[in-house]
Amino acid sequence: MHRDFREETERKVEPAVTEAVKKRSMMEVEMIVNGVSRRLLVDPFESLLYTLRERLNLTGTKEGCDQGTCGACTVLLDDVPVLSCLTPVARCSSRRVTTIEGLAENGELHPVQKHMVETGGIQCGFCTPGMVMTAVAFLREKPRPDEREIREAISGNLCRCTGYAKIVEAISRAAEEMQS
Amino acid sequence: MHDIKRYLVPDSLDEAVRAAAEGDVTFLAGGTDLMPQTRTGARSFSSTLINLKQVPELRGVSRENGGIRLGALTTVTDVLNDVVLRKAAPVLSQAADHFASDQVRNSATIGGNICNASPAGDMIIPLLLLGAVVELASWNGEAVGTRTMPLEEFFTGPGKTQREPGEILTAIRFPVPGEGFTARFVKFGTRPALDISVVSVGIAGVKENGTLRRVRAAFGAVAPVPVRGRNTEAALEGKLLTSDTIRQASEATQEDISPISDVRASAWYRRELVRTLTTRILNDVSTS
Amino acid sequence: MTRVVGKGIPYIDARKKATGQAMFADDYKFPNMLYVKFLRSPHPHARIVSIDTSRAEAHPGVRAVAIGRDLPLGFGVLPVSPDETAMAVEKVRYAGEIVAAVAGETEEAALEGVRLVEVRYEPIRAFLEPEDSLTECAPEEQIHEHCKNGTNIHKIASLRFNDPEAALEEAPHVRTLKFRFAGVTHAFTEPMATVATWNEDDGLVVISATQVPHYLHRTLSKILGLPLHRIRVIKPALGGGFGGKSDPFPHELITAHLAMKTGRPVKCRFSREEVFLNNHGRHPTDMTISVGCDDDGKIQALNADIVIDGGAFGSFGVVTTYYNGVLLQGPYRIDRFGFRTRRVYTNKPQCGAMRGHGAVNPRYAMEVTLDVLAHDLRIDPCDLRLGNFLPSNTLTVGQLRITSNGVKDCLLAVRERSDWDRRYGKLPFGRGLGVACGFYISGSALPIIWNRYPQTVVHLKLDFDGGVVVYSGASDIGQGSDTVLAQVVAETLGLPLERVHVKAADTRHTPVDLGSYSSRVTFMVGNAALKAAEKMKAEISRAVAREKKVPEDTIMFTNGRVVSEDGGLDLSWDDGVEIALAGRGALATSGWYISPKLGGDFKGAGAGLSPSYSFGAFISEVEVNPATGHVRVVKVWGAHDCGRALNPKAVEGQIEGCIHMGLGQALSEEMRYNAGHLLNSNFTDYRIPTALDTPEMDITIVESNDPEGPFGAKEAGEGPIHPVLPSIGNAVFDAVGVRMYELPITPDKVLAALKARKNAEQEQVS
Repeated sequence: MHRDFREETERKVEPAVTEAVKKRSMMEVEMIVNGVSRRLLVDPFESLLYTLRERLNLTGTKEGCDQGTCGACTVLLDDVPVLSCLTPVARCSSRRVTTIEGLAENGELHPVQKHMVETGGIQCGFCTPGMVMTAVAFLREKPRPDEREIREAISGNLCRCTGYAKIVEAISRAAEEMQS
Repeated sequence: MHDIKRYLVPDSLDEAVRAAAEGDVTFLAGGTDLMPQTRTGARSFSSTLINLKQVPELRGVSRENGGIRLGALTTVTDVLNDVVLRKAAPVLSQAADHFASDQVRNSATIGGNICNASPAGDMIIPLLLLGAVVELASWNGEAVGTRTMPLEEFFTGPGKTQREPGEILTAIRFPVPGEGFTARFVKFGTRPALDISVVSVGIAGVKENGTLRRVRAAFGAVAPVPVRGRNTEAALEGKLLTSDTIRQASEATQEDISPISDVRASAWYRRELVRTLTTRILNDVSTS
Repeated sequence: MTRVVGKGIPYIDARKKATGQAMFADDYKFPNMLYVKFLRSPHPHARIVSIDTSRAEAHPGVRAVAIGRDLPLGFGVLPVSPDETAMAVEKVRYAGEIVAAVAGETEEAALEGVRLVEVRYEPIRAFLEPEDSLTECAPEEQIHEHCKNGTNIHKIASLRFNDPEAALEEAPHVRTLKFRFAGVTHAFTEPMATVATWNEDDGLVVISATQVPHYLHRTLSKILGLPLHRIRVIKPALGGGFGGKSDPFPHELITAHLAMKTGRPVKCRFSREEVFLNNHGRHPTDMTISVGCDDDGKIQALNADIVIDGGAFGSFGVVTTYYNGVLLQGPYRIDRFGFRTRRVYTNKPQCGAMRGHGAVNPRYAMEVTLDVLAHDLRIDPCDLRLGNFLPSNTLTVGQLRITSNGVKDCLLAVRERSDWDRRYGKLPFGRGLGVACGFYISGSALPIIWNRYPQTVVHLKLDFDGGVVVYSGASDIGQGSDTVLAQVVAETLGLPLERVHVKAADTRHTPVDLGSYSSRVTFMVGNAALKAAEKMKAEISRAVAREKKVPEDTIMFTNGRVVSEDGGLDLSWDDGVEIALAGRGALATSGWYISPKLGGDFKGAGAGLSPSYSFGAFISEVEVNPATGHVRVVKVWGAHDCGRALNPKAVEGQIEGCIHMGLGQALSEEMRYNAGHLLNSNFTDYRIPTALDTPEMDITIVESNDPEGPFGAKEAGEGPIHPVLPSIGNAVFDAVGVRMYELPITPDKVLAALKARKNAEQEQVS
């Protein structure tokens, strides 16, 4: 049996912190985040969102509700979009995680990012990382979507600024560009 | 608050049930219900957390002895995309399609949806129509013991089931529906996506010469648990699907349900909807 | 010579947002940082008998605990109602009010500390319905002791012109209708977050998700007793505001206090539940409106009686109280006009300003009532409106000064684009069209805090690198104000956009701006930026003219070059910059905006005054399922007069966003309480529209070229929401023949109305 379990961490920190940490056992996970292999000591039930933001400082992934209802924290787990706030990091060991920071290649935006910028699909930008990740995964599954399919695909990502119109347009244009 | 002392990732059912037998455990499947519940303090972790992801017995959709077995860890997306299920039990795929959002479907498991025992659980109503049973495994001191139980008996209250501490829900099984079997499921929420059902209505049966036989009706979000509609079934069983029958069956639904008023809808509206949706489904069945 | 203005260009921060590089408040981290968590009241109304923090303080992970008496001074965004404290002092006034705060080494330690704070309460009668707050109660039951007449009425606003009651008696057609509106909230996607640091060198630095750094700056100074110059407030990237981040908030004051107390950086971030509890959303409203007109549908008079449920504190409520009435003075000519609004305190999370502040609910009532009158008179609802519009360049009855006015063009546009004349009233049962209009202020002409300073100041700096830096206190909250400022400056100086950099919303480095609310930024800050840029242009022209011996007035700035009209002079921008900066170095100019003196000479005359007003007309098409009562909005045609679209893509985005938010309030959003406890503090049960609920949109921008707006521009961020809701309500009537007098129009209400009508018809038959 595979046991990634430690009774207590060995970190020597000031007493107060030790006290707080002692309550929880930590485990080690290894995952590939944006192409880089990471070994981390985590609380087994902390969310992937917490791990990304607080331990890896990948703050591009946003916490909009922490209840699994807004989609802002969407990341790709082995290329499949999941809500990182609902994903215990323990579920991610030996898996690939892609966040918004891992999308652009050599400074060149992914077509979804590019068209989100150009069509005005971004206003406050807080839903944007989750929206983009959802759209990127969706276009891999469905390269030639119609408008209804795009709306269905992003229906788990709430945006309060745009009324979705320009987001739908951006995804549609990205699909066209990726086809050509 | 989580005070997890042990974290286990068993890679066989045997190991999983042995570990579970040691006492106070929390099972982790998709995490989509567990995570928010623990965070709001609605549920607290036990000292041992068992991640079930590597237990092979809990995985996969398979056909066996004229039945279908859904491993408890089958995700809602898996259900949606499974060709066998699409053909044999399209009503299940259809319910999967209306489940929360893409991202949640990718993580949420069928076993988790059942064990969470929400009166509004989306996957439960179609499984009741299909006559599903749940398979539970536990350590009997020497070996893995299993028992099965009809799904409709499994629920005892909101969030409560017959699952004993130390028991793992391993699979859901149902017979492959025979010739003429027809099933309909309608979920009503005010938003097309993301909504928890205001009500859901399912009706199934074998259609022969304009009548329905072996009728099953089930309703979600209108009682403390997802319920079978015995009165509705009786009003339909073996009768010609005339407009009178449909009206009587739609009325009979009112005896089967005991909705409350809550933040999602009033009891009055839930009753109206169940009647209306039942009529709509039966009209559809009678003409198709 | 438009190069940048009038172009639908991407926001200047969009790439950062698309790649996850934009820093929002919660993304800031400092070494040695503490986390703060709050203990919130479980009671809607209760006296605090005792608070014992000793166990919390003894917890090894806890660094500091704060309670009400540590920050006892009252504050409020409006100086007239400083009725709030950072934490409850002697009693709690709503379930969710902050009672204590704990700073811990980790979030968990802080939470643990919160659990260890022991509070004993003695419940007091809770006032949960506005009706209860209107009547006298025992003095010890009053929510605030300053309320007059022994009630819980916070504010009464009333204005009356030309005896509207008498006019309503004379008018041949009068409708008096009652409306009820549920409370709704902003539901921006970014939860509040604040990070504060304190040291003797920098003073207090507060990075916060706020729409108005300036008010936070002032309030921090007052509550913490620090001089203004020792405080620096920074607004980082902000994930939506819609009015919900425009008050100075308790959590900001407490976080700053704890940073000072501990000498360590402190971070606070709200859970989604806390965001809902913080509220400051639109007031639940009960409204009776009477409108009279003559046989041709010409409006003769309007009278309204309104009660708004303010929740536990004042917030912007005094303004809301006036806006509910005064913003009914347009877009129609109404010469005999009156209203009374009473704002009451109740023991619920407070209400404040939300997109379309103060005018959204009354607009629904007005536009539905006009629809009813049009029906009574068998006049097309579009025609009835066309016969009543205010003209351009006029005064309303309450002396609001209307300058540019494109409302007629707006209505004609949507009428034509929706094929209204061919389809209205003729669609099959279950489908319908509805129309509504609206108007809104483009910046409040009067500042909240009376002072002698301009409403905004913009500085420009040009240095040897050839870049122009725009320093402005304006807050980009996703509406694109940084982009608009860059466009205005680039346009004026004939520069490509990448030469212009915006440094905004950092109170130590940027001149004061009053904030992103009341739709003031494009108009006021745009004008200030324009003025500053023109001064810079003049300075460069002067230097170049002197050196190159060309007449100053022939010099032009275009395509990144400095040229003369006759082509004799043609310098690159950088060469022009070198000439202008020779011997003196960096060039700085300043522009500001001060609203013209406006308004009448009566009490309440200042309410609703604006240097300019926006106008709009919307038509919605709905599909109503008569079996379930479910309403689906199929398409919305929206036309909005924003004066001039400096960035048409941004204007469209604002209109589309308004449609989304208006649709949510019209159909599904509602703050639901049980015994004073908020039931739906999450996105599952507080239902904002998803991509599947949001309809197809057809947007028309009408440009009336405002004489005082920068390049003719006025607001577009709030005005477009007003017509959305009533156009949907009126379309439901066209679809199934029932009037919806209560929002949201949930399926159960529609179904109940359809059943009631059917029963009534059957009774008539029998």
